[in-house]
Amino acid sequence: MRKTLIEYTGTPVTITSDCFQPMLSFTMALSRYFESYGIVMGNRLVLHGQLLLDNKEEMRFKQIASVIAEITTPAPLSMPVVYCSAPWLKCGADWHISSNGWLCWELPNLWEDRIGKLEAEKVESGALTQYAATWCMNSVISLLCRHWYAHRHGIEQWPPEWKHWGHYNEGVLEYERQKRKNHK
Amino acid sequence: MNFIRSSFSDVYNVQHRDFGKMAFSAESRAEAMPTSYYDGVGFHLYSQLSLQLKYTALQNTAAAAKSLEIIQRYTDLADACAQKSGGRILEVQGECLHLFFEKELTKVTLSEMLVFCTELTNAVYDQKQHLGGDAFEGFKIAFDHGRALILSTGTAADDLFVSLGPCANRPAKHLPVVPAEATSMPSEIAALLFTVDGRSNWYTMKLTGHDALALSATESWSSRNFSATANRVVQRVYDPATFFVGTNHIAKDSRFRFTSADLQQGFFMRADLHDFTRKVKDAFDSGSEREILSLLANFYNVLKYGEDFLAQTPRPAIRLPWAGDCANMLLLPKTNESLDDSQLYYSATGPADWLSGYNGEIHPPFEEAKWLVSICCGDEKNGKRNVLIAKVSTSEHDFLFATGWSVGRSKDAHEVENVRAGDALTSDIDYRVLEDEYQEYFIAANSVFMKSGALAGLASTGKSYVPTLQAKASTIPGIAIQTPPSRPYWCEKH
Repeated sequence: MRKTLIEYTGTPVTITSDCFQPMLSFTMALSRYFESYGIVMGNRLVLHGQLLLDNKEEMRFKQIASVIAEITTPAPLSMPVVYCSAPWLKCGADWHISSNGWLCWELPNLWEDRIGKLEAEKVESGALTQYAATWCMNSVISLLCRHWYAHRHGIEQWPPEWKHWGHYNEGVLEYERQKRKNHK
Repeated sequence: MNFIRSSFSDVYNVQHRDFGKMAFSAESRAEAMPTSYYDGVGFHLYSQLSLQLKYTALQNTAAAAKSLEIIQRYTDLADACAQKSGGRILEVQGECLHLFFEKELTKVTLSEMLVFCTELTNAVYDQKQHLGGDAFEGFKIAFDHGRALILSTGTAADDLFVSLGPCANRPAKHLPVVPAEATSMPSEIAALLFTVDGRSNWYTMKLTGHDALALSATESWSSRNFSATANRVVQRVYDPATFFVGTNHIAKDSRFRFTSADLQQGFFMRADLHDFTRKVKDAFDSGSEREILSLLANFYNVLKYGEDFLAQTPRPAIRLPWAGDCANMLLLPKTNESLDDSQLYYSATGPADWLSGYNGEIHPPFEEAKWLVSICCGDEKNGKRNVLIAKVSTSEHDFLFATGWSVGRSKDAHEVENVRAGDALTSDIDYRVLEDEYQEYFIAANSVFMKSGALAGLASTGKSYVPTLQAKASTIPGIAIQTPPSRPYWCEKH
């Protein structure tokens, strides 16, 4: 069953304003990629709207997908959870989308390391928010574009041309190896 | 496949014989059941009722119900008139009917045809309140005489009759330029009764008012008599509540049985086999029965190509009767996409699949077979993408037909100048919503249609070359390191 907005109602809000402000800034940075959007406020900020599959560079499509992004504290260190309800998505590990429309758009270890490192370096918060939003939305658009392409061309197997992390622990180990190599 | 030459009445009444199976069904093909065909002369007549867009570009169910009622009344009227003159309806293509009169060409039979045209035209104009009222825009006829092959492809409403021959093709092509209230025939035929202008290939005469054909006393009596019949015919009451059925039963089977009418949203595709009429003429000119049988065998493969295409397509489709050597079908969105989704690509990939035979998976019907394919869907302003699929019944047959904005546009596309076999056409409206990668294949054919001569190659490109579709690393001001290039992962976190 695909995730819908109805599931976000009825929870008491306990989040503090200190945590809320970065979440809102990050949400607004993400919203700039949407054609139209709404925000549901709560302990999580839920950005929902119509995402045009066009990053104005290497991915230029006219397709528009309905997307939901959950932004949680601490933002942007906490990786946004993104869902899409488009009927043409293929579900399963090889297609990086679960049956409820959850998009596995990046390796969480990489996100947490990279954003954590930039936070530790005390980069300007606006720049960090923009960095995180660009990375997240580029990755989401890329994954959706690949699904849209596969749907139109009747592609049933994830093509080898499309780079991805290995599944489960294999991806984590691959990332750790890459990290060690970069440190040497 | 075996073919048996039969009389016209045998071919026409195939439904009433104890066949028990469709002539073109999978079972009959497997059992090599013979298909009967008629090879003979007669008049092939096409009549066109012109209606305003509200009944041809259907905005809603009410307009569709009204449209169906008009077409049923119009068919009833033509059927009653034709039966009186020994004619039969072969095809119902919405507002356009194809009738056949098995007659030699003589002064007498030509007069009979003109009387039929006059009676039907006057009946239609007299009854225009029942045929669209304010939306009625006129009526016209074109006919020709000659030899043609007529075969029945089966007994269901989506099968029926296919006519092959120049005389069955020419009037259909000429009909769009015939003025309202008139009939048009080849000048060499008109010369039997009239002084014709030798410079023109077609002779046109008005059928209403003072310029109409002068009828003899007997013909006038007959005409008045038909007028009374026409009055009765148009009084028939149709129950609009029975017209429409749910659409959720449409699945992969393109041959589902219609019990009623249906308003669907999809792509209307028309594929015209190039140059087949010339092949028929050559076979006739050869005077050889063997040539005719070989031609029929080729045509059997043509029909099979259409069946194979429908079997191969992953989307629900509705198979409509062939119009001569033209395949007609309505292709619906796949179950895992919306119509908006499919409009982003299918006006290009649909014709590409037909032209390439699903990239070679379907064998061409014969070696030099080439097609001209058109496909249209429309938008909210143009017919709301609706197509009425309905069945009209005459005293002898059921006829399945489609009408709607996309049906008309797909047909009009085949009249565009400077297109050739192998081309695909779509409306400018459908072109505008295509993804850029498909738009690149098209150029303007005129102000209304876009054409492509290279779509057949599209079927293979999607799989032979896959773009990386990877967002590159981005630089953000104030941060030294770039964002990583996009790279999805999978775990069972959710």
